[in-house]
Amino acid sequence: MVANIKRIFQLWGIYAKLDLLWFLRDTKYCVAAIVSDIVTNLSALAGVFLLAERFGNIGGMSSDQVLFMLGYACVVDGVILMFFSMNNVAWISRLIGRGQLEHRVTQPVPLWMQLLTEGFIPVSGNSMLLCGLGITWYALSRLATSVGSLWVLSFLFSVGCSVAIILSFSYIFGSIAFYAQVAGEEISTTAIGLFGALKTFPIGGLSLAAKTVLCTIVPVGLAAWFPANVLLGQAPQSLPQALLLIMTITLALAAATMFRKGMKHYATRGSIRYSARGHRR
Amino acid sequence: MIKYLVTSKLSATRALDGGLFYMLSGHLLKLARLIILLLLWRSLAAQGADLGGLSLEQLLLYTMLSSILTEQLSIVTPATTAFWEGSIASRYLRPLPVLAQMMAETVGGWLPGVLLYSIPMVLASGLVGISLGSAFMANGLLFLLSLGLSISLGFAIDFLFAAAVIYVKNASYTAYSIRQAVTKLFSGALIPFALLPWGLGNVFELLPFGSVASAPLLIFVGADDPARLILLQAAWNVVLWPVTLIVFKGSEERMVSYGG
Repeated sequence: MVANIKRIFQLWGIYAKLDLLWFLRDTKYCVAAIVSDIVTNLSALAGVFLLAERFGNIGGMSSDQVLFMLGYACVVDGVILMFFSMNNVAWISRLIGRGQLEHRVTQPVPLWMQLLTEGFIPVSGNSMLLCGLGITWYALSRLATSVGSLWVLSFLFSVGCSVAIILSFSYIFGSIAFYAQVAGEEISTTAIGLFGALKTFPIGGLSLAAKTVLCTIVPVGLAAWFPANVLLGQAPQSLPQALLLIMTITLALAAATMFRKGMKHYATRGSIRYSARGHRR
Repeated sequence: MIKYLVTSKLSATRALDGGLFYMLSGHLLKLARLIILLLLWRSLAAQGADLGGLSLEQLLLYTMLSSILTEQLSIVTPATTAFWEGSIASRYLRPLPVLAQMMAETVGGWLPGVLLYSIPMVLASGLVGISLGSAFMANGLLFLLSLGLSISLGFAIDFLFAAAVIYVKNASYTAYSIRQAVTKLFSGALIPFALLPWGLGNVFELLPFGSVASAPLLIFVGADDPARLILLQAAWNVVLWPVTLIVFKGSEERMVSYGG
């Protein structure tokens, strides 16, 4: 256990060094990628923010509360970008569908540890997290929410759960690529895209049935709206407060089961995506 | 003309290469976003919000049509991807003008989306109380004229961005991401300009991006002066096409494509 934790930090250190080297050796393109992340992310948030400014109150949330929710969403995206974006770790169907698990199962490090560490890019991938923290801090300064150490821990825990939900959703659907490598190659992109497109909408004004669907079957509401409301002290009354935790555990278990099952299939069938000369089919 | 139709056909059938599942996922994403937006507009109307001069019916119609015509109102040609993948070189070997080839490929690529998403959504719109037919009867001709100008302008803007991508070389995907993000916000395809605060909509509608998506949608729902919008679209076409052709021609000299 201790050896595993030590190894994880060692690997994070190696990937951090590689990322820093990219920044130092190819600064122009690295900065361009950072700027792109910032512009893309802020544009995605701007639409809902402008709506909130225009209407003052959407779905039971004031414009400052919506801003807090957008900041939270940005932090969640920032964590995924910083910890799980390099080598498509979050977009697992690409690795499976492209036959790139082969490279990993020959490494002297467990697959779970590789997936946990190889996506780490603390230099080129920190922009969204910093933006999110800035927006969250600004929104909190305009709200009457009391922020103590317990609240900060709740915030970190909620962010962790939201990240786990998005990744689990990606891995559940991404496991389809074990069985349909070409057709399923981009399925994780769609799964994560679903959160990207929908998680910033304040869905409090929708019917209970719609909210329940968006917090369970298609859990986009758990990526920002639900936890943001709980943190602001206005937990949606129609839904249980522990919903975030329950869904995180449920989806994580489902993802682990689906992935293991897919790996068993992969162990017997392998991948047909690369020809003997290394070209992808 | 036949050679362009053949190019379009190749492009349309290529979309099926990844299987039905591969194609459907993108449409499911569009459908999910459409449902959320329709529910959101209804809830805003129910709380008595001022919808910026639009009626709820017009707003729902606007959003539904924007979703149905997503690909036509946000033109993405294979140009940027071709630089990134290195396949641009092969297009220069074919006996057709490069830009015209890419336009034909783009139009062909719409076919699966039209069959799998646009037509089903037109048929389903009546079930959710959105009447596309009556709006088309009232404003159909002007809308089609505006849509034609919009598509033309969309191609010009895409090729202009493609020319910019040639300059930034390896950062082509970065440039593409920025372009997609910015145009989505500025075009009015997702959120109608009438719903934006601080008079931003009045500024955005004068930009070329506004002429691409917002103008035809507003004409369809009968929410603005069609003559003014169509003239603005025509003016942007007249200004941007020559600029696009000159800039693209100039950037061809700098074209470097490694493949990837």
